[in-house]
Amino acid sequence: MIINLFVPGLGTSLLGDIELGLAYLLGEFLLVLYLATLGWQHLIGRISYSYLNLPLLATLAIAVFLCIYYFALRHNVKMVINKREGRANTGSYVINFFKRTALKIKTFFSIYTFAYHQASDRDKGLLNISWFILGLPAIIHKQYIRGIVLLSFQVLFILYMIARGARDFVGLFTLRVPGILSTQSIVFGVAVIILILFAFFLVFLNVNTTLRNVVLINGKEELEKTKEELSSLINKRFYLSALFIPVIGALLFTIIPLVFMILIAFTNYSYRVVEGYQNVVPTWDTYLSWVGLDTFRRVFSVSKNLQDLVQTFSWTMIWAILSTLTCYFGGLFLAMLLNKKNIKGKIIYRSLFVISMALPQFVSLLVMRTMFEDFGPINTILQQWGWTETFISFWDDATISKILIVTINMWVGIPYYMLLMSGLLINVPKDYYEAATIEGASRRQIFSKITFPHLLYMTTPLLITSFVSNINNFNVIWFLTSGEPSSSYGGTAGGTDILITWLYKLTMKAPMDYNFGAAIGIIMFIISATLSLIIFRRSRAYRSEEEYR
Amino acid sequence: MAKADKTIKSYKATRTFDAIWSNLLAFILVALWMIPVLWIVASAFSTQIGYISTTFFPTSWTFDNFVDLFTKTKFPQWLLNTTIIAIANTVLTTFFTTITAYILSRFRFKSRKLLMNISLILGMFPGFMAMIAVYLILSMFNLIGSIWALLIYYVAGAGLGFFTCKGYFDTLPKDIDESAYLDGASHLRIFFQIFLPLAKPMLIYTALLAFMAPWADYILASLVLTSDASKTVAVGLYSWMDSTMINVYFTKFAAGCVVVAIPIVTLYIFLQKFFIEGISAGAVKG
Repeated sequence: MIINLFVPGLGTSLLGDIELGLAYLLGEFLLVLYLATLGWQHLIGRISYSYLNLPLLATLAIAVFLCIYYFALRHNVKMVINKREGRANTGSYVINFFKRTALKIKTFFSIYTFAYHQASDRDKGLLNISWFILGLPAIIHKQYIRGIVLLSFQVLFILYMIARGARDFVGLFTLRVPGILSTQSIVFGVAVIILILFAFFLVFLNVNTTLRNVVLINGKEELEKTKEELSSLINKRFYLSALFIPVIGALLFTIIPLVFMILIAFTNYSYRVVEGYQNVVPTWDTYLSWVGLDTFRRVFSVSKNLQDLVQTFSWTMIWAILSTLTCYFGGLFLAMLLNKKNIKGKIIYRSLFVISMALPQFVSLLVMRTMFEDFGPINTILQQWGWTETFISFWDDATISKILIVTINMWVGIPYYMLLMSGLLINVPKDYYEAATIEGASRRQIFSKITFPHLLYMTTPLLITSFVSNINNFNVIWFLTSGEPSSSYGGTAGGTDILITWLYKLTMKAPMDYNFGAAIGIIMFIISATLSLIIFRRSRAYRSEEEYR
Repeated sequence: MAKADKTIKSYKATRTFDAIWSNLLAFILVALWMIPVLWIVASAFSTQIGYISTTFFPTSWTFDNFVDLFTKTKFPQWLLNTTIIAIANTVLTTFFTTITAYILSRFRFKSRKLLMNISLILGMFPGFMAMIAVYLILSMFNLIGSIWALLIYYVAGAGLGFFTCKGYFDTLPKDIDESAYLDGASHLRIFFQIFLPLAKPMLIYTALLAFMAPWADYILASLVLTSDASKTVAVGLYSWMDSTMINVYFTKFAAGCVVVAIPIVTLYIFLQKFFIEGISAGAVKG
């Protein structure tokens, strides 16, 4: 208990929830380390940079520390109370996982040995063989389709490994295969590793099916015949056939590329020449090499990069919050307005709003950008009406640009929410309204006590997912400003760049700074994954999937 | 009596006031929303070349921009490319997305939860972080510069976009397809003949989104479609907005936007009902 008061994270670990405890501990440790070395100096102003509000940063660190401390302590108290009242705590996920896996393996082997002892000599041999040769036991058990597929996979796999697989595998580590670009080495290497994992899976599958057949034979039951095998592919195991193409597609165009890009962050692949870092571009005689965490060091230790990161990160968060809230409440307001009984021509209005949603975003956003251009129609009108002397350069000022971006995003986003909200408004139970009207509630009361809570309850998951997707909202920023105006301190991120457009610039525009971009991508992933994880674990839909039936 | 009269009168007055006010507000908002649309349509008919003008609406009107667009530029080719991809994508992506959602909603198998969690995690990576590798892989298949590269990429990602669909499918009663299965219908037949008709709003919603994707996608398209003839409208029209081109091509750009927008807007307006059902289902089930 005393440990809990001082280092709650350690206490959490000792009570059995190891990972959460370690996470708490890590957070606490890092923050204390920061505060003890630099933080106190930041707080009293002994060190200062022009671009960072250091006292604020240090205060935030203290606040975060207190939060973690509080949460860890609360968690521990809950666990202790649970224990005392004889309820089980969930405990560590990792340990539970290993426990479950160990149990599964144990059951598997007990069945295996049991079946092995009962089996005929032929089946004993087959069980032994099944660990090495795929498909053969199935063929002897007269399940030809499975057998031939597995066997040919094994033959192809071995041929492939001899022909190039082994070389590709080694190439992933050395990145120096003559005649193959280092980048291709990585792609091939990742593919080989996936293939090897798949082969292990198939070996397990092979042993497992052989075992099942042997058990059936021991029990004097009929085995599945070839014809039944075929029909099970379109009936019982329909999911295997149906998911085949989507899974292959996801592997080839999502998983391998992502793993590739994550790996790139740990190489020196970049067109940008930076002092102290040996960045290269792979050619037929220049090879990449693994550089460990060097790139991350570059993100955090070079002051311009850090400034870029802090600036884009804070604008990303502000942008995500503002754009989500403005569109949500704007859409709600519009839906309520168009839902009123006394509005004439609702359908026409609604259809007109739908136009703005249906227009491809690049059209509407590019048009908007042109309208606010120096000689665009907005400036023309402002001058004609005599409100301004000369044109206003809207897009040259970061703050004005940001305000415009949020406003224009409302134009794009509100109709979507309007449609959504009008769909949901119909679902609010009518008797609530009737009861409220009879009781003499005012319209404001009805809204704040019935309509809004109901909508909020229905749309909380949406609010959160749209917050996360706004963090990744590339189109609005890119088509409106492309992240311009350019950086005032010579960084790579412009004044209105959010993380994702910055990432795009880093990897798609010269000089292409691939490893740096990949590192930023990983940081972004950690942000949105943490957010989504918290959300999805709390959302009703995830917790009670079956309850929707 | 008099008092009651008065309250009725004031009630009526508030109601009239409220009606006028709401109608006015709605009208102003619609007008605000229409300004950019009107401007781009007007520019499409303008006799000027660039976007710089002294008036909001053009002073003289012409149809030349549309004629030039179809006779003097690559726009017809772009339009054809995009239409081909859009239609193929609608069919294939809708099929793969709905069937993945159907499987994950109706079947219970061992690696199901794992598959769903993996797709959830994959969705959290910024999409084009992987573009460079996608480019590498496409170039290994020798597909760079071809519109089929785009189609393959879209369809390959179709399986991962099942969440909204699955949420909707989960709400559909299970007994119908189960009893059909017991009666001996195959899964594929159940899926096409019983399930999809039941899930019509979601089907149309998914198809509409799939149809829209090629019109709006810029990132991969700009990377892959290098030659002028293979561009999609998004990439092509965007290239006209470049600061060196805009003064020559702006009105043609406007005309192009109008041409692109007409069919899509029509689709949206007619399919509004399904769209509303689709987004509300997706939103609520998260």
